[in-house]
Amino acid sequence: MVTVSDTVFGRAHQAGSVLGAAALGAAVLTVVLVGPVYVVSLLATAVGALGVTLGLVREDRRFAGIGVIALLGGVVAAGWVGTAPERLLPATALTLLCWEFGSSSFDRRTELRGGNVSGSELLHVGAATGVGVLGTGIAYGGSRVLEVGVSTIGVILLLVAAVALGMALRD
Amino acid sequence: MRPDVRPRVAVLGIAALAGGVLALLEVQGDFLGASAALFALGGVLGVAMTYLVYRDWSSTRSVEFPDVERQREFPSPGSEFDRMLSQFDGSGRGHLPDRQSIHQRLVEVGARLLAYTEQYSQEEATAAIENGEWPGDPEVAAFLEDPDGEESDSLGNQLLSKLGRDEPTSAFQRNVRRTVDDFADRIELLDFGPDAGDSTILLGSASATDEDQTGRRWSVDTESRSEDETDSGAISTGTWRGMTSIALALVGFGFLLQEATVVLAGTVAVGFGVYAEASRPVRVTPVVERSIGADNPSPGDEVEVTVTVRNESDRLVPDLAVVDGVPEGLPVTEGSPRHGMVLRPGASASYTYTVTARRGVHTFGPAYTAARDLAGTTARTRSLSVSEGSDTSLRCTLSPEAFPTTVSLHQQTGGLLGRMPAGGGEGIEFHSTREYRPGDSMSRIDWKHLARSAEDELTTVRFREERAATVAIVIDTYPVAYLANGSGDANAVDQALEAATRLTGSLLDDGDQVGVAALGETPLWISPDVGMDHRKRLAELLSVDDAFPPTPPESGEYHPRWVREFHRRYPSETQTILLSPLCDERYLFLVRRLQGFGHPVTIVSPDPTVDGTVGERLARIDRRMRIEALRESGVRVVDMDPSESLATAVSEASERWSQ
Repeated sequence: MVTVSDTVFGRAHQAGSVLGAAALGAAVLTVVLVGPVYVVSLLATAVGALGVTLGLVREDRRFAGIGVIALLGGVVAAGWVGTAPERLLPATALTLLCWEFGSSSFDRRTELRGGNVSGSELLHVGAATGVGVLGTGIAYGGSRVLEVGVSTIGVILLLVAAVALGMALRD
Repeated sequence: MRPDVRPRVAVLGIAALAGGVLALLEVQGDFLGASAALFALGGVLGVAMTYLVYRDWSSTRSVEFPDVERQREFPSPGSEFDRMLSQFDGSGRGHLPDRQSIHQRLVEVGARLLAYTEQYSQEEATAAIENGEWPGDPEVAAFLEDPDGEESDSLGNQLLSKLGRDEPTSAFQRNVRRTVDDFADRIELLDFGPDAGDSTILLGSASATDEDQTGRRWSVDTESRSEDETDSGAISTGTWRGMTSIALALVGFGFLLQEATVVLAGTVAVGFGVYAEASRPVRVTPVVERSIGADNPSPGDEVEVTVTVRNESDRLVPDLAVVDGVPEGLPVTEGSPRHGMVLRPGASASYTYTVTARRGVHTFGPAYTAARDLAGTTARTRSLSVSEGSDTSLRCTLSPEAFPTTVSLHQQTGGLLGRMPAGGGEGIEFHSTREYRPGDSMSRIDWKHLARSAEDELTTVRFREERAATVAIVIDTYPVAYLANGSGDANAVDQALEAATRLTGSLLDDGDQVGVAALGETPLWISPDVGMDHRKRLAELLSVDDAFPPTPPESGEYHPRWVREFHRRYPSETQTILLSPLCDERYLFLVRRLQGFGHPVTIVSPDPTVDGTVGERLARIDRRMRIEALRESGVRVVDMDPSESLATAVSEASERWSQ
């Protein structure tokens, strides 16, 4: 029995269940976004979503991990056939969120086995999704701003280089 | 940034910088023909990073809490025999002395069985077995005669073993099982008669049984249940660790496929990486309170434990995991001592779980907490003492008012022993008559004699007066007594202590003087006494005294001077009620010595044996034979089946005694 007073989210649930559900949701949305554009993407993401589902249900981390890799493969395959950023970028963000939520779901189940959680998983899912939306928006905005004639790929890579080197060289 | 991630990010930056420069130069024309190399390098990078993504996923990032729900498992009698037997699975890796020991034990048990059934001496029975004359089953007889003889391992048996349909995997294991089955069948057919009077029978050689070693098997991981407050500081959990690898993989595959959108997708992963880096550790110290729902529950009662966690700071705690420090002796039966929560500034959250009370004082450990930041990148783990005013221990005592169970004491063992007949006086059994004296009760006048008397002679009836007995209840607390049948029942020591409480109440109700002694590592000598205060004191001692720890003591060393000390401390007319599971041979020496000093012995024995594996069945047979041998030698034994009440067991035993 749990009584929670004055917290952000009050409803208690089984540890890992919200994160697991969020991971499944992200996997399904990835299939929806990139599946229709290319048959290889459809197959890869469908297999990925199935793997994530089975892994979470059977509590088999390895199975779910292979599923996430398959999702990522499906996204890359969709990019290969020139899928528009409107589909590819959100699909990438959802795959990354699936990766994170799924992994965290396993961790929470191990940590709080048999115990309940009130609020913290929802907050984690909400915050990470917000970051994903923001990151996708920025990336999409960048793709629209870049003009043809300048190497798009070059500009992107320089941006990535600036962020990555800045982080790596920071104390 | 974590040291292990920094090189990957640096590689990403350098690769992206090189790629970006080359890509910009590429629009001006083919620069040194580097395009092909760049694309190929991107492919290699993508594949390598994909592997790292999978590896990162596979590694757990959970905070490790102590296993507070873990309960000590008490072994069942025979489990050590099973362990020894399992070595001889046909692989040839078994320890040969163990094989000899198994065979020797079977011969001993068989000899005891044969001696009992055929009225042989122990030596005659052993010789008969060693000559292959017993039992009737030729294969068993041959095996007992020579375990290294020709082993009959038929093709069918081998095939069944390989198919997993036959548990034993070697001829030796099959022979042992067959032998134990044969013994078990013979025990079932035996009709054990009433207890003997003063007849004597050899109780068997005092060889150590497999349970002698059980004390060593209980290793308690006390380190994981530290009593001290600790603070790990902020530690990295590894959450989002794989984002760099995913970003690199996407950039690499983007190059390989020459698709700018795929490279662009890598920036999304970089975004998550920045989010993880921007998170700051939580520096809030939560306050933990604990409330235990019962003051002094009885064993078996369900007790609710409520944990309340408060955030008294002005900062949000986005993810707090709490694990209450449940004592090892209290099983959690409902709910969980673990909970995760969000705590706003000034907020609190409570959760409840239920434990089953067990005898003794159980001290709760500190509460373990892990506070994560919003991204989950860092966690601060602590063990926190509960706040002042919180409950820190659960005290569970046996009730002195527990339903008393009467066990009849020895009537005639020595000059002053037992609740034995004394001179004429108050009582219920006729003793004699004497001349009436003024003041004699009217109810004691022999009216029939008066009616027959011609001279109206008044006589007074005298009854036999019973003298109160002096009894010492002795509880076996050696590690070998901490046995359980694996069905969730209390271990044999706990059952013995509960029985002791009931017997104490009954004896004190009858006006007997009762004392208590512990037979184990920690001595306890409570002199015989009477009265309600004494009764309460005994119930308290039997519940929580250090002499009766809820878990086995470290040392199983037998104190040979225990009986002499007992005799010195207790009156010479004291008779003993020994509570022991009788699963090892040490009690033989004890019983003989007590009897030698003139203290008659009654044994109340909780039965922890089960009819399961080969070893468990053999232990059950062994114990049964010991009990029968004890009974034959005039020792009263109450065999307590845990599924029955003590009163039932005493009633069944009393029927034997009265025959």
